[in-house]
Amino acid sequence: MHILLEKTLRNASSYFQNFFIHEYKTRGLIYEIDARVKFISTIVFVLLAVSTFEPIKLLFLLFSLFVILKILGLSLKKLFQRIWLFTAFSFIVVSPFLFSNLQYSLLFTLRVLISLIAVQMLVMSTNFYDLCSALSSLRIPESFVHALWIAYRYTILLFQDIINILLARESRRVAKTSHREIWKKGGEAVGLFFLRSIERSERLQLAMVSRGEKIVVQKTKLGFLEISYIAIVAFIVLWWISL
Amino acid sequence: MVDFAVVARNVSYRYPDGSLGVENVDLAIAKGERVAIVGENGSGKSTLIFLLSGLLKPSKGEVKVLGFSNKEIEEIRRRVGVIFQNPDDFLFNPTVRDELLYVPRQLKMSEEEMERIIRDFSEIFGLKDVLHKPPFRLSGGEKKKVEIASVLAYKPEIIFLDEPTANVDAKTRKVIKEIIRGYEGTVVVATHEVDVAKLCERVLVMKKGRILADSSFSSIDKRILEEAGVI
Amino acid sequence: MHIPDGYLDLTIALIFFVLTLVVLGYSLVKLRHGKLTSLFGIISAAIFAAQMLNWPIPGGTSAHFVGGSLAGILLGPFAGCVSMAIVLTIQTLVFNDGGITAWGANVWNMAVVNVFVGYYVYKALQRFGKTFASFIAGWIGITIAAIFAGIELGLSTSFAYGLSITVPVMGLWHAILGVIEGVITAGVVGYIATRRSDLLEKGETGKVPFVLIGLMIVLSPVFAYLAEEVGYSEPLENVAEFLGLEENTINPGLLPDYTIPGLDPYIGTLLSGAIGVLIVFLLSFAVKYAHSSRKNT
Repeated sequence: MHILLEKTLRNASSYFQNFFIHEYKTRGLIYEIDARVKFISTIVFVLLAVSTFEPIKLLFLLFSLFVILKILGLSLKKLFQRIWLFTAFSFIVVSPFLFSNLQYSLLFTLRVLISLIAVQMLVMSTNFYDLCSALSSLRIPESFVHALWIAYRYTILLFQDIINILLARESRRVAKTSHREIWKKGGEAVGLFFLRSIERSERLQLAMVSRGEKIVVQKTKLGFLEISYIAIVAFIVLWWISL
Repeated sequence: MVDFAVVARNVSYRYPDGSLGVENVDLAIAKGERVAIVGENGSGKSTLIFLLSGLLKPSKGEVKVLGFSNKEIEEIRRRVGVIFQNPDDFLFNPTVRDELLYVPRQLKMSEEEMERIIRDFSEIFGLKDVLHKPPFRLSGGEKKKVEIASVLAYKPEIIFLDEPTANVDAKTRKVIKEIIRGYEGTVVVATHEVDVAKLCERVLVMKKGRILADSSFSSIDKRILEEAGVI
Repeated sequence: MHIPDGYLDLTIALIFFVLTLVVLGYSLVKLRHGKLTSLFGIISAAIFAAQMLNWPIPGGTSAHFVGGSLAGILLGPFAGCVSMAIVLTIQTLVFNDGGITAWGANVWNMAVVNVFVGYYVYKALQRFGKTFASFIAGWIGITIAAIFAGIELGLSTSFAYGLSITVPVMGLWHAILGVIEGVITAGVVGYIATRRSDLLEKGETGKVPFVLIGLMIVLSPVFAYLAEEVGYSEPLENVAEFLGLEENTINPGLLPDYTIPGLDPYIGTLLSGAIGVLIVFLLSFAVKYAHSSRKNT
C-alpha cells in the first residue's frame, strides 16, 4: 500500500498546483477582465477552433490568441508548460495518419492546441469563486453553482482526510500484500472515508442553514476593458468567418 | 557504538498542496531513548512523526529506521507502532478483539500467543467488557485505549505517539503517561503539553517545520519554548 | 475517459449537451426540496479526492477510480448524477481535463450513463449480495460509459478513427481497468454496509422517469448517428451566409474579396489572415495603452 500512498502524494502536487494557478503574481490585464466575458469568449474561441479544418482560419485563430495573450499579460511559457503534453498526446493519437493524410494529422492537432489555449486563458487567469459567480449570473442553477464552490473548497481538506486514513492503514500492514489485497483493503479504507464525508456533509448542511451562505453574484457593469475586449473578440469572429 | 533507532539526514517534506511540512531535519534517535516533539499546532510535529516512522517518504533527504532501507518496508512496519491522533482514522475492524489481533494475525502468531495478548491487554486496558463490540460504538477514551492496545500488542521496538493525551479522560491520561514513562523500547511522542514532554529525557522544539532546539527539557532556553508556543 | 475539444463533431457534441441538460436539469428540479447542496458539494469533493488515488496495477503503472457507479449506489441515481456532473465540471474548468464543447458528452458518459447503469445493475443484483452486486455495477458501469465515449468518437468525422476501432479499443481497455473499479466499489459498499446499511437503502424513485432516462441512454447513440447523417456543417459559415457577410467587405477598399489582385487566391487568403492578426495586435495594444492611461488619470 505504500506505493499507493507514494504515487498518489507525488502526483497530487501537480494536481493541486491547478488550485493556485491563478495566483501567479504577474501583473496583466487579463486578470482584470470580468469572468463572464472571459468565459463566453473562451467558448467562442473553442467553437471557432473546432468547427473548421481550414488551415488559414486555424492559423489566424492561433496567432490572434498568441497576440492577445502576449499583450494582455498571460505568461506564454507557463501556458505551454501546461498544454504541451496533451497537444503531443493528440498528435501521437493521430500519427497513424501521418503518411496517408498529413494535413489531417497537423490540423487535428492544431485544433486541439487552440482549444487548450482558449480554455487556459480562462483557467489561468480566473479564480474559481469569480468563475462560480459568473456561472451564476449566466443563469446556471444556484444549487449547482453553490455545490460546485463547496466541492472546490473541500477537496483539499478531504484529500488530507483520505491520506490520513490510508497512512493509518499502512502503519498496520506488516506483511507483503498482493495487488488484490491492496485494492480490497484500500477500497474498505475509501469506504470509511466516504462514510465520514457523508456525516461531515450532514453537519455542514446544518451550519449552512444557520449561516445562510450564498454565492455573491456580480452585478457590476462591464467597463471599458470588457467592452474593448468583447470588440476584439467580435472582430476575430467576423474576420474568421470571412476568411 | 550507539545503536540507532531512527536516523534522519537533511530531511524535508512538502505537502501536495504546496505547504511546508518540515525543513532540513537532521537527527538521530538512539534505541531506548524517550523523545518528545513539542510545538504549536501546525509546527510540523505530525509530519515529522510520519517521516521518522517510515510512513511518508521525504521530498528531500533520507530516513533510515532500525537500519532498514525502503526496500524492506514490512520489516520496518512490524517493528514500529504509530498511535494516531484520531482513533477513528485507525480503527476499522468489526470488533475490538479483531483490532487487537489485526497485526498478530498478519504475523501468523500462534493461537496461544494471540490468546495471551487478548488476556493481558484486555486486563491492562480494561477492555474485557467490550471485546466483542465494534470499535466505532465506543467512547472516545475507550477508542484511544483500543488503539494503543492494538499497537502495543505486537510489541514494536519503537512507538510513535501523536498527541496521545488530546481528548482523553484523566484515567486514560494516567495510563498513557505510564506507557510513555515505562515502555521497553524507543518512544517518540508529539505533544504540546508540558507535563507529557517532561516524561522524556530529550525534547525537540519545533516551529514552522524546523527544529529550534534539541536537548533535555531543563536545558532549553525558556525563550525558545515561548517562541514555539509551548509555554 | 475525458474527451477533449477538437475530437468530437459539433453536431454530436450538441446532441449530448441537450440530452445531458435534460437529465441534469430534471435531477436538479427533482432534488431541489432536499436542501442537498452541501451533500452534493462534499460528496463531489470526496469523489474527486478518491479519484486522485493511484492504484498500482500489475505491470508497474497505476489506474484511477472513477466512482460513477458508487455515486449512484450511495446517493441514488439523480443525486449521483449531479455529484458526478459537479466533479466533471470542476475538472473541465479548473484542470482543463475534458473539453468545453465536449462537456455534454463527458457528463453524459460519466455522470448519466455510468451512474444510472451502475445503479440499475446494483438494484438488479442486490439479492445476490451487496458486495457482488456493487462489483458488477462498478465494472459494467464504467465499461458501458467507455463504450459510449467510443461511439461518440467513432461517429465523429473530426476523429478519423471509425466505430470499428474506437468502440472495441475503449470498451476492451475499460473492461480490463473496470475490474479495479469494481473491486473498489465493492470494497466501499461492503464497508458502508457494515456500519450504515441504511445509507444503501435508497427509496425507489418513480418508474416513469427511470424508464424514460433508460430509453434516452439506450437511444442516444442513435440520435448521435442521425445527427451525423444530417451532415457535418459549419454553423458559423451558415450564419455568415445568412447574414450575407460573404458579399460585404468589412475592410472597404483595402482587400476587396479578400484577395490581392494579381495574387494566387490561396496566398491572398493567407495574407488576409496575416493582416487580421496584425489588426488584432494593434487593437489589443491600443486597448492596453488606453486602459493604463485611464488608470493613471
